[in-house]
Amino acid sequence: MSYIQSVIPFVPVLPFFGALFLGLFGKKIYARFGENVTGILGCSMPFISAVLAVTSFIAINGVDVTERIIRIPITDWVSVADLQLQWTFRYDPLSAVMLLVVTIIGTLIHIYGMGYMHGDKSFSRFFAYMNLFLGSMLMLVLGDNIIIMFLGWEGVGLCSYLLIGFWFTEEANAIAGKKAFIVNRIGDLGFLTGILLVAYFSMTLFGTTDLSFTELQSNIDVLAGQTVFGFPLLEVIGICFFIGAMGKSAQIPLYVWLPDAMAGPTPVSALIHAATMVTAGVYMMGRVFFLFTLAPHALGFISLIAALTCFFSATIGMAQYDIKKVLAYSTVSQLGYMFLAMSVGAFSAGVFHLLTHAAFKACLFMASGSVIVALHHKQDMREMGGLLKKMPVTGYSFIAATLAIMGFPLTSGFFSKDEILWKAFIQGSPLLWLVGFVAAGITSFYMWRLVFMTFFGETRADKHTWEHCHEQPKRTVVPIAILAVAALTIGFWNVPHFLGGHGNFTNFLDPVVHDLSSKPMENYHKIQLAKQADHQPEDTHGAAVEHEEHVDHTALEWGLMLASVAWTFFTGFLAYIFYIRYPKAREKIMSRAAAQKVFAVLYNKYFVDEFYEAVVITPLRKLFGFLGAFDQMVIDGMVNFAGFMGRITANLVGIFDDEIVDGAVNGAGWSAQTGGKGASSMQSGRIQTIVASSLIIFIIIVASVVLFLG
Amino acid sequence: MVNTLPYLSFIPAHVLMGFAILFFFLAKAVPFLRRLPASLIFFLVMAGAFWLETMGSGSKAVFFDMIQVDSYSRLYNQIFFIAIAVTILMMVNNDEINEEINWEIYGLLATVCLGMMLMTSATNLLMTVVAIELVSIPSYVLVALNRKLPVSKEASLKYVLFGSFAAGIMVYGMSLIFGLTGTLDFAGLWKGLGAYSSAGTAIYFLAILMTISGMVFKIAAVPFHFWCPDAYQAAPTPITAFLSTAPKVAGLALLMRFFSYHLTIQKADLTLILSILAMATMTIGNLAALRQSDIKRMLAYSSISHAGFLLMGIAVLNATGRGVVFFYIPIYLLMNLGAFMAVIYLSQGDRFDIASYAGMVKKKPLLVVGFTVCLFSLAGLPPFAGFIGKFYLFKVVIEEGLYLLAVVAAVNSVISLFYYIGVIKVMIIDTEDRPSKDVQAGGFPVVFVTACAISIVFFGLYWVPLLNWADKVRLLF
Repeated sequence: MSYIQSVIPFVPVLPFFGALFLGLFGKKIYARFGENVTGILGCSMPFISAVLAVTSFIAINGVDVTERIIRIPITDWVSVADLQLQWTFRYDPLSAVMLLVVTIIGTLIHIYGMGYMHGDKSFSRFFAYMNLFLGSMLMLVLGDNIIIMFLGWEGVGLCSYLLIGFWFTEEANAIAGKKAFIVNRIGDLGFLTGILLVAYFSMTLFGTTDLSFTELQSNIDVLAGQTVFGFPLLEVIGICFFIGAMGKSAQIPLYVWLPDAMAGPTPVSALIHAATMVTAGVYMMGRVFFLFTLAPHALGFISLIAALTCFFSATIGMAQYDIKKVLAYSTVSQLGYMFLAMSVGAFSAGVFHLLTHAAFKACLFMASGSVIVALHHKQDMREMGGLLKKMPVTGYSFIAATLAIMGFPLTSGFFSKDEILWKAFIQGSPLLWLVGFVAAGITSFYMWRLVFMTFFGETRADKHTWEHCHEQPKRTVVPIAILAVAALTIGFWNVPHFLGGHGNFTNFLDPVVHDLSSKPMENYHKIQLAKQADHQPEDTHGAAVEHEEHVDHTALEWGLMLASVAWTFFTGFLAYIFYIRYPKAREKIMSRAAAQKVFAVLYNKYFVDEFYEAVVITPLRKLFGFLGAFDQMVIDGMVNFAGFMGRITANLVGIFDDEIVDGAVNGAGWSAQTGGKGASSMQSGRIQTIVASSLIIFIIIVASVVLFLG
Repeated sequence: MVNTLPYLSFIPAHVLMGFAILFFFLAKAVPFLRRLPASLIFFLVMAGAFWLETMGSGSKAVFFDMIQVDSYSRLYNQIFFIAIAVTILMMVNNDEINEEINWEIYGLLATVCLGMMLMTSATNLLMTVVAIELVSIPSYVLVALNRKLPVSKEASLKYVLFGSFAAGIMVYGMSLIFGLTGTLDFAGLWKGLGAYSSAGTAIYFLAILMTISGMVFKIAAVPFHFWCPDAYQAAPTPITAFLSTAPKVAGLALLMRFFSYHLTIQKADLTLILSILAMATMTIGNLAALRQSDIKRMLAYSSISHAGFLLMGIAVLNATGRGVVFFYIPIYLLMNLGAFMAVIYLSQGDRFDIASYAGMVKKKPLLVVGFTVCLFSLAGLPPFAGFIGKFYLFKVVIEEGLYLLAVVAAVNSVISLFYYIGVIKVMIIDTEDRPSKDVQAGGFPVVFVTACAISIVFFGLYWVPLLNWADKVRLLF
């Protein structure tokens, strides 16, 4: 039993325990000992989990590369017929990275939450939910089979719903929670369909199945030959899984819930709706990358969706005034980048962007939360400005994270985003690169617009607010500063080859996740050819396919990198001109009718919500109205009829009881009384009746058996 | 004369129980012993017997092949000890019974226990009669523990009369079987019946049906269920809880062992007989439960319908079916004991009518929540353990191709929802029309019911330990 095997099961269990404890006793502890004790209790379980995750990470680096996939069986779970599910955790480089992200950022945000939720009367409920979320997320990450992953998947969805509607007394928050829940349900339907397809085909083809990823990977070649309704099975499963990811990771067309989800407390936005839960879709794709490797058409579909999401949500971000809304659309756009990377087969690049994005976006959200609290819960950037003087730590951290997200050279975003753009260019198409490239510039623009409107220039807040505005306490700003440092530095984990690095992160993931070495479609054909030639069966997972021709791309890589750096600098500078230097220029442009129209479209998010309302929700409502009527007329009619029949039968039994049994009793009583023998014989009358009834039923049974069988 | 004493080492728990019976009746007379804590001693006896049964291994026919001790009997006996231990806990925390008569009660319970242990290992019809009567006769007295209440006496007398009636039919059936086959040994009589030239005639079925009537009486299945509501209603609640669980389990164990010796050619007929019994039992139990206004009577009919469900597992007549029945039994125990415990403390004084529970959730929220979990589980809703138990019962029945039985059982499950949820509705949604005085429940019942509820939820989500336990149930041939 190695160290990893003994501690990993505790990582998800501890937060669950914390959630249970706080859920049961949190209110009493809060009333008795106050905020600090409750908060420290809430932070302690995530903290211990983080310590275990970090030490396990160190331990796995000492393990031989070939033995880095560690499966930790806990116990059997469901064993019905061919389905043999087990509770097993899987610790490998991919889940190790996710554990680091989830537990470390989770702990920092818990600490931050102690400051942010100061004075809230539901303080203990907040920490119970947050712990529950961490537990579910860790279960999702560590699950060795799809079902455990799906349990975690649903668990985080539940927590997301609970936390978006955390202040449920305001109707808008409750509605936002419901919206998130329902939209996610649509995605989950896709995911579940995929899971059931996997289960069905595994059971029919291989007899028994435990639905684990290991088993799926070893069977993938057999599954690749299957079709469902004439479509290749893996393509269908791939699309189904991606629909699940669409819901959870907010891709077009299911992204609409994420901006509304900002109704929750800011720590929730930082943890769930930026750093961890929304990236679950990306993680899931990384987990089953071998499936997507054999599903090139699904990857093509994903790259289309990802590019669209990336671009359109970035443009919406330019025209928002709510500080959290800007960050929300930015998150949607960055998730688009991750899926772009996944869809061209650069799985490690996608996961690496997940990691860096978790750091800088969590930092941005937490800093914006700090600003919001300082300004007495104002979120409109038109009422901010000049805050850098008042809140230096928050401000500089925010700027650091902005540098990272725009891709300033040598920050984390620089490495991860350029890797994605490069792979999109070389393994996707130049068109995909162009969309990503333009979106990167827009990102830089709206982020600097946000920075300039919030932290620079003259304040537009009212006098009272401005005077009371001050830097937040340490428990709030220290986590922000830590994440800001991380946002600047963690990029060095994956310095690409052409910059003199070794791609350490890619190598680290290599035991579990193999990047494709060419375009997904070409790669797929190569695999097919290799299969026909019938040599080297391990070629099927892409990485082993040899480079036939090694073209030196260094010049092109440098060129693309310099282009995107110059472009983001330019748009950032544009924001400086429009919002600090010459606001008049901006007003002049905005005064034109065409510009105003464009702005209105962006400000109203392309009217997508209105479109859904008209095209999906209203017809559905009509359908539900119709179904409701149908229900009342037909189904209820049937139910009522069944109930009516049941009542009649029960009444018949009752009549039997009342009239025959009791009647006999009463009759016996009556005859006994008239016979002058006293009432005591009433009882004896009854026992005779029931013995007689028993005998009659017995004879009926004997007769029926004899008639049936005799 | 064969010396039977060496055999005693194979049945240590029976020996212990025999001494316990002696001790408890003696203690009534000896003043010195009477000062000892009776409940504690009996509890320790149960723990000791449980321990002895877990230590045993192997399979052995003892006492002229009258009984067979094997893993099957040992596992069922363990369940009885657990059920009785829980009953003791309930009695200690109940004020329906006068504590002065504890010694007699425990003596009677020990006798019942010995009878049940013999029921699980009997392999001969003679032993069956002895075992069933050993369980029945103390049960009659236990029902009448509240001897000052005329209702109790009446119910007890009815129980006696009805029991004698069932026993009479059973013994008559046995005499028919003896006449047909010339043996009362389980294995021998099925072989004899198989060889009997007119197998499939009226006399053949009559003999079998009459013989099992005594066992059917013990599990309170149709048509020998009429005693059940009256006895349950009149007995003190802990005794009701006990009667609705342990003797029923013993009857099921006996039925299973009796039928396990059947020959393959007899299987179709026997499955049909048992299916008819199962369908009749669950349907009549459920329909009658719908009309009850007294909670104890309602639970009595509910336990009748559960006997019907459990008969499903017996009707398939194979090892899987027996395993599933054993799997369901601990769950059934949890649900039923939890429900009865809640009933004790939800009821005020002697009022057991459901209407008096109105608005109870405000007064005893935790108890009501636990009770609700037990009721939902009895109804077989997921994610509670009752669902998993029923699921496996349906599974074996469908695997065997008994579709009619499965459909009837499914319809019955739906009907049963109605009366279980009716109680929940009264407790949670209805408001009290006139406030009555608040009876404060102590800590123990709440802990007990909550523990039952938590176990039900736990086993509903993670039933592997039970499955492993049930896997050990093996009848040896």
